[in-house]
Amino acid sequence: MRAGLRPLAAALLAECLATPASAHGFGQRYDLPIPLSYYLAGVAAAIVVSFLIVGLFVREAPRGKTYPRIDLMAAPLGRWIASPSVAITLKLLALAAFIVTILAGLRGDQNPYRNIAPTMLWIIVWVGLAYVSAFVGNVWTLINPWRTIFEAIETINEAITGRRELSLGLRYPPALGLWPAFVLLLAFAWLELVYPNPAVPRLIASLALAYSALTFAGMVCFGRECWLAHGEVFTAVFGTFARFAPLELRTDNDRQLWLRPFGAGLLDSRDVSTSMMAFVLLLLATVLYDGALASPEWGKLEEAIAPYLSTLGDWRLVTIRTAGLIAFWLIFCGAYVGVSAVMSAVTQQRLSPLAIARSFALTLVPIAIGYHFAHYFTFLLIQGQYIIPLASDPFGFCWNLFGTAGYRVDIAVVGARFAWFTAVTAILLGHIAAVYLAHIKAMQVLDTRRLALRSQIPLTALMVVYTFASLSILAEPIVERRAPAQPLSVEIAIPEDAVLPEPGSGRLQGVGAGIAKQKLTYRVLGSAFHDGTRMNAADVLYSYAFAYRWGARPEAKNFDPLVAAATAVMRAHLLGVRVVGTDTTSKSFRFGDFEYIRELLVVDVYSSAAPIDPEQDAVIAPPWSTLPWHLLVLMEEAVARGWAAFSQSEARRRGVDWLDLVRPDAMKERLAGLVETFEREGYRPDPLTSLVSAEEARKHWAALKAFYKERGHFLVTNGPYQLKRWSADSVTLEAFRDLSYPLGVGSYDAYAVPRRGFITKIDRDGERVMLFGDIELLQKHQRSYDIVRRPLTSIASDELRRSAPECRYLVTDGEGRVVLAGQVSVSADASFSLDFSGKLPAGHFTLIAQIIVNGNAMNAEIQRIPIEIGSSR
Amino acid sequence: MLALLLGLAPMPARAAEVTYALRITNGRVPDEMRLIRVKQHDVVKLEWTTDKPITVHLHGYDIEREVKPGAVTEMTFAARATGRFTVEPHIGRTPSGAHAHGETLVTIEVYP
Repeated sequence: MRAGLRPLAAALLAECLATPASAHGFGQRYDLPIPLSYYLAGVAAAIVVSFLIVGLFVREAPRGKTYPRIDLMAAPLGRWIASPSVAITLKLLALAAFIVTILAGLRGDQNPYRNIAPTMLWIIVWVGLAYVSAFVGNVWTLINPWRTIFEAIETINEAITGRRELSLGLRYPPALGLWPAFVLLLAFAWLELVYPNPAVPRLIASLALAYSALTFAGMVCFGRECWLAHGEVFTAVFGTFARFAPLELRTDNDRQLWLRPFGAGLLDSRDVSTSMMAFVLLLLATVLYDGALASPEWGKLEEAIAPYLSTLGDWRLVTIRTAGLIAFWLIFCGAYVGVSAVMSAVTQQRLSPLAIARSFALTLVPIAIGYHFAHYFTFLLIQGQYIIPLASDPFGFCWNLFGTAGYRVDIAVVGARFAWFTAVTAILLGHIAAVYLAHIKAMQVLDTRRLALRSQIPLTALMVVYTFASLSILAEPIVERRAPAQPLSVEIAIPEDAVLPEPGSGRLQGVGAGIAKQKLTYRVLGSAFHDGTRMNAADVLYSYAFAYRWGARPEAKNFDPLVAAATAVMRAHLLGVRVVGTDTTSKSFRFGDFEYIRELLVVDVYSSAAPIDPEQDAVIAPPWSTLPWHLLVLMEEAVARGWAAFSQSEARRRGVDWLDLVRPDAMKERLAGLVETFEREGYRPDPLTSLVSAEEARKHWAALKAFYKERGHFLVTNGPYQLKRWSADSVTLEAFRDLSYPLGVGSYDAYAVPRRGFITKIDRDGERVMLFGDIELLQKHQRSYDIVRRPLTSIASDELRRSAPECRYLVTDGEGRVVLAGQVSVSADASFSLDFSGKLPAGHFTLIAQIIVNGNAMNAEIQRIPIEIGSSR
Repeated sequence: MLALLLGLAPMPARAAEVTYALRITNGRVPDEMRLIRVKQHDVVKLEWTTDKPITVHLHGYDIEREVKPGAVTEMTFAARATGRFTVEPHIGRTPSGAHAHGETLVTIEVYP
């Protein structure tokens, strides 16, 4: 005997030390933490729902201790389910599985994935049967193999001796209660969560045999049913879960099968013993402890504690986790008993704290079930698949009994979103059930509704804390501390329905397959244009088309160098555009006669530029247009007909006018004529024929015509400014509130009056350049503003800080190449100090500098300052 | 129910191909490379190099590669399953015949 055990022990020890990491009973978990949004929504819902239940719904709870139930034996299906043949089949199947598990553990391949024992115990029984118990009914009482074997022995015994009872008939000490099952659950949880390698088949079989011996001994000593009820841990665990289940099965005398509401069994009127209460809390603590062990926070805790336990060597982790398991139970138990004391105090001590604690213990079971489901359901769906190949080859002997030995586990059977959703839902439903049941329980055990309500405030708070803890464990790590790795390269397949304008015609052509360096998804706010039309896919796509019509082919008649230069970077990188869709659902509202529709265009842009940073990447080829497509078409037609040119330089070259949509009456008359014609024809250019119908085009032209009639010009743009009045040398813009514009109200104020800066004095001191200057300030007189120019040195420090002047500069060498660029903020003496020592080689350079105020770089005065770096260094 | 859920899972055809260079020195990859985060359906290409011969095993997707010094070993997979998957070195076998795993080299998170 000793000789046989020693190699086993040595092997088990070697297993432990070889795999220090894994904590779970068996199997791998691939869970992602719940995202923050799910976590916060779950916590918020738990709190709100708790108070809704307490405050609103349970006004009239059933005070009686009965619950509605339906007798299923009245229906043929119910009778069939409860029939002895079905029962015997289930019993024999379970018994066969039990025997196969033990044989496989003892004789089979010892690789846990090639042996049915670990999967059978840790996944099918421990997780799967728990769900069957909680959501169907207490099948364990039926299929319990120890009961089946013992009953068989009793039957044989009866045949031989004529006496059925096979028991010494010892009296079970009532004080012992459920404590044997409690101790066994603690041992089982220790094996699952703490013992370093609980998946070794031989260990599982040996422990199963040892546990069988214990169970049979218990049944012989105290009688079959007595021991099963008090000392058989699986009966206790599954029985506790099954109190939540809708099927109520009784097998004692005559068969009964009832259908009842979920959770009704937890309101059982029979007394709950102190040991039962401790057992329920241990169940709750162990499921949460399993989750906590997998969290990064726990890893940190272990790392912090381990150095203090160096004398324990390899058993450090085991020690810490054992202590953790017991501590978890003590904390759960302590919190619960503490809250029970508070409940007792606020209800004028009608019941003692312990009596309260015992009465409400079972109402915590739904929380345990909810967390169990959240934590293990995805795991069961993935790891449970191992039973399919193992059923055909339970021993790892390369059998193929049912032809399923070649099955490969599909890890994609459920996705992360499903896992997150079921997890949060399960926890919430468990929480709701617990709060609700506790409330009904309170109505039953306390005489007035007022007392019942009072008692529920501390208990509900504790339940919220338990639920909060469950969700937190699932969401760990809530704050990500590690940055993900940067890939070497990213290649994105461009979908076939993405389009790219053809150079010259601007026709939107399918890209076909291709590879992009990045895909940017824009959610474009469909801003309103000033003629009442609204930016849509046609406007977004036509602005790209325009760039290729006028900027891509220098040899063509339709070409403008300025358009080419302005769109060069975009055309160089754009590989495809895809309008994914329009989202009008979110945030549309109306107030008074104003209807605000928030229309989001979702546009994917594929580019050949490698990602640098999101803000920079976004500006390369943004899907945005400040002009509606019909205005672009009108301008193109005017330019194509030789009436004007897009840019001043091109106008000069061609000897035509620079295109002006506002001032020259002759041009406006010609444009108005064009609009008239286009409206009649329902004209839309080639690239838009598939996107815009003639009818829609007609509406756009009509809108432009109406705009011209009202405003006297054609400058239709979007955004909160409109041209109001103009003369030869001035324009007046009116600002208005435009909720459809991406920048909200107020966000354009910084530039409403763009302030400028001026360099007034330059001091050179070796390789240092000091710049002094003036900036513009605003002086308000009632409703008008004056712009006054003041030297920086004369401006008060707080005013200076608000203006945030800075100097941006470039340094170019003799050939005009940029060799240095930078920006400096204002120094204490209200100047800008640029120090080039060590930054530039000897030679002549040009410093190009500007002082900008409040970030307005649009129209600052730029100074070119020659500098010389000596060669004396 | 499972079939229904599978039917709901979006299966976009377009995906990115992301390449990561992973250099193992003394049985470890640099700290900044230990967490890789990709989107579901991306094609992930891991290019392994090492200073000593090592066998790396990607759990879940269950891909094993022997990496030898002086050569780049590719491990490519389409990230069809979401989850958090670890890559661990195989360090021989346990007495019972299962693979013994060393310390995690890289964690790959596949998000939907």
